[in-house]
Amino acid sequence: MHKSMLATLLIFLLISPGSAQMDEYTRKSITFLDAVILASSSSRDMSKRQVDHTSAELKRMLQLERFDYNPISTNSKLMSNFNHQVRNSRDLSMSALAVILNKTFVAEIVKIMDENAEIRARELVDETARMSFVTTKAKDLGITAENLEKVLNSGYIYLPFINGFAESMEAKKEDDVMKYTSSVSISGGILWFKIDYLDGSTSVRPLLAKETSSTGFAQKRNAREANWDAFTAAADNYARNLEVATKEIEDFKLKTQVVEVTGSKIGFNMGRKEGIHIDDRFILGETVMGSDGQLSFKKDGFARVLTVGDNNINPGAISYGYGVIVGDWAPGMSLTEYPTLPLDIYGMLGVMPLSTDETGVELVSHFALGAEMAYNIGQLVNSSHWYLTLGASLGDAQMTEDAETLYGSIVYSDMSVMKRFQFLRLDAYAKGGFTYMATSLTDDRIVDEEEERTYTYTAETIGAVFGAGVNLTLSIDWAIGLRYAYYMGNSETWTVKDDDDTDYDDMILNTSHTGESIMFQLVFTPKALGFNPVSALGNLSP
Amino acid sequence: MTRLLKSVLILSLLWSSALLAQNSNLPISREALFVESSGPSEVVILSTGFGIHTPKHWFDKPDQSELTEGAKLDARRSAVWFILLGGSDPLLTTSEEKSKFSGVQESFFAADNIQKYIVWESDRFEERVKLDDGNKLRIKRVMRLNKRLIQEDLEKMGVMSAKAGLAASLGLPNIMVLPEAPKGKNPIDLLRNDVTLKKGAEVIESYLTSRRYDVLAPEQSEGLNELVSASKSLKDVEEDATYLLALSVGADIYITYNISTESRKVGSTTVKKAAVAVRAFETTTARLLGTETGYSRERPSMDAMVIEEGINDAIEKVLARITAYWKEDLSRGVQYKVIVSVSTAYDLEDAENVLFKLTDALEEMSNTSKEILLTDYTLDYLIWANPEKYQKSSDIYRALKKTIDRALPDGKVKRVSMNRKLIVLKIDME
Repeated sequence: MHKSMLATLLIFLLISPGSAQMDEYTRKSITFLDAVILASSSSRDMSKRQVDHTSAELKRMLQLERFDYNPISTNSKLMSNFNHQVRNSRDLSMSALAVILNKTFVAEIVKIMDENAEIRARELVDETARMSFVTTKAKDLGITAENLEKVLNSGYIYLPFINGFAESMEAKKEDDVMKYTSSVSISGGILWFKIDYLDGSTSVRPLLAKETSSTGFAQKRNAREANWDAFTAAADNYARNLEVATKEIEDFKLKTQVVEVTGSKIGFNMGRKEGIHIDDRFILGETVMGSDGQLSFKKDGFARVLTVGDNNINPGAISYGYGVIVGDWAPGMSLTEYPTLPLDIYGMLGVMPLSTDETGVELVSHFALGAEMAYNIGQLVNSSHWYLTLGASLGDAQMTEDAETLYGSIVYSDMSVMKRFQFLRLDAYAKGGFTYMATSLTDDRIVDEEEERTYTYTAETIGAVFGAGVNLTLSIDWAIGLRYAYYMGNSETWTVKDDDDTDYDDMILNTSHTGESIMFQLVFTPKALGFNPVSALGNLSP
Repeated sequence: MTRLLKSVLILSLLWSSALLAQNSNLPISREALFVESSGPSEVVILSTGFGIHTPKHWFDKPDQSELTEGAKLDARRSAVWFILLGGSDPLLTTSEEKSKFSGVQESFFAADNIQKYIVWESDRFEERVKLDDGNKLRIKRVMRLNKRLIQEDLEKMGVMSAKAGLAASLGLPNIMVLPEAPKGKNPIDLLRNDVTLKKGAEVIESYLTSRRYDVLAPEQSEGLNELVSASKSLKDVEEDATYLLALSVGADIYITYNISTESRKVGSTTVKKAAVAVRAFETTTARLLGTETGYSRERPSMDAMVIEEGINDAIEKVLARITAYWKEDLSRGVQYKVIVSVSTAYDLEDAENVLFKLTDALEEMSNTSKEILLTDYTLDYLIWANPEKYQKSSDIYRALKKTIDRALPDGKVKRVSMNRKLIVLKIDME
């Protein structure tokens, strides 16, 4: 029963509509307007600085190599005319905005595209056309009217919008210092419009909207600084989510054919010009004709990018990928981009080390839960599967001395460099880095008949961690595995505080965080994040 | 038990026939499409190939690389097959050629042999579809083939008559190329004054010379009037200057063409498209041998380029038809057009007698003949003479003169005009 359900599910997942004609990505001409549509009353509370930052960050994140850009000057009359019309428009629906765009920008955008049409059309001259009489004998560029029309029909405009904005601030005095904790949430997205060109006439039509939301946190001594840092964390993460969402749009997905297959290694004709990055994911598949004559696209595993060919210099440069879930691959199969954020999230469950060599005292941890984020730095180091990881584990802690037992928790937080070695679905990794280790125990004591006090004992230390693990890839964005880590760190003293944060003399007791950790892990590669843990971590240290 | 044996036998037969089919070198798909003629010797073909899985045992599953390699090879074979036997203008046209080729086709379609005709093939597939539960793969791929090399190999193998052989027995067809001229206009003047038409002639002549045809350049039209006045039958066509020019220079075939270009704007770029109609005629009869219109793609390029692209698209097919015609004509002998006008000094009865004697003589000296026109005083005849007996037109003239001199002691044969295709005579009373 389970098997048949699984098979049905797999068939459903693997087969989606397709066509026999080989699909290839062609460059698009993108126009970005320096305007953010504030589509709700809450978003209109944003300051000009906040709106400008959001717009600039979006512009930065959406400067994808796969696009050509048509610059529209921020201070142009067209821009102010557009802003004026948007401000005075009661209807901010996509179709209403398309009408405004038609009135204001389209002619100018098409003019820019037209000026660059021949240069951009050269990119569309394919291998077959390059081998034809016109290029080989007549020494022509091989451009056709079809190429030019394709260029003039490759125009898109995007317009960011914000339809939700909320910010909060909390002030708290700690150790005589005022600390401000700010939280900012943004929700919104991008409106995409398509420019159509037909026999000299142009028009804009609404294409689709991509939405996301993001939150940022910051704790600072200065309220304004806390608010700004929380806002920028939210806005930057918001822009990054929209970058992935943009890559997910069918028209913008990178698609090509596999030209070489050697074992589980593939070669394909895309590279730096299209903005391919090391470890990017691509789905492989092929068109299948069923017994009813219907065509469908059958996925057959996925590969990740190993090396990126520089096709800016050599147009024939080939990029190579390594198969992770490897099907029966052959040249000519389709390769379709699967955009994700360049990071993996690890969820972990297992045990962490905790002990003491004090006679008569037992200090242990039984279980721990952890989360880790592995940022892919492969592009930075120009080698596949290098990661910078940030993780934290929380577990229980228990100290028994004579008949008395205290309970508490442990926190291990580490920053490491990790290298993975992929072999088909299996990967092994090794990592090493620094770790912050803390154990905290609480002791509820009756001071007198009417008062009960809770004392907190904390042992902290900084140490090192080395580890290794193995994962099994389940699907393009899920994997499971086991990790082993060896932590090194000892503490001799415990700080003691009560409910009122009153410090007492340190307690001398050896605490060893040195030892082994074994954890089961689940790995997920997201397309969007609600907040950026790294910036949150940075912003929470005043 | 008997039933079981029968089943096993049938299965074994099916199995072995499938294996035999797989082992054959002949193409499976035989689907291809002519894309362009990229020069006088090369053509670009979009070809379909099938890769078929042949299980070696019951549990043998299809292998992608086996299917892909099989499909790529079949696409190459189908492209070569298309040049040889497919489409509207194949290389092998006569039943004799086809029959000879069937004897060598297995070795001809061997993977190593056909590979030498593939000048280039695209890295990418235009189409790739899995069929029959993954047991079959269909691909479409663009490739460039050396058509001339295929032809030369077939000539060496004796499948096709070598051009050299033709030349020895009949001579290569002499072809004249001229633009279509409106009534009253001289095509030579058009050629001299119109750069576009001049370019068109150059491209066609380049094709012809590279295929080793003899190209006649009609640089002057003097003598045409003399030719026309010599024959009453030619008066009907005296406005067709191209036909007359071809006759006057002795071309076996003449090719006419017209060129039209159109332009439009895509954005601010002007794109041009050329349409070129090419027609080939048998000179002696003005019979249309082949006509084809070629189109260029719309390009932001100079006129000359789109014109050449348009001509490339048309000329290949027209030349194939000329070759087919020439092969057929070769089997009948050397063709001559003979026009004889009898002096009106003869009365009707005598003139008729003269003409009868002439037709008898022509029938006798030709393998085949065809009467075009017979009036009271004029005779227009096509004859196909044995090239071993009559190697040139003067041999025909000499034989005719001898016959007439014998039959008409009071008549005198006068040669009005004569070239390798046309003999115009006049019989006067002495």
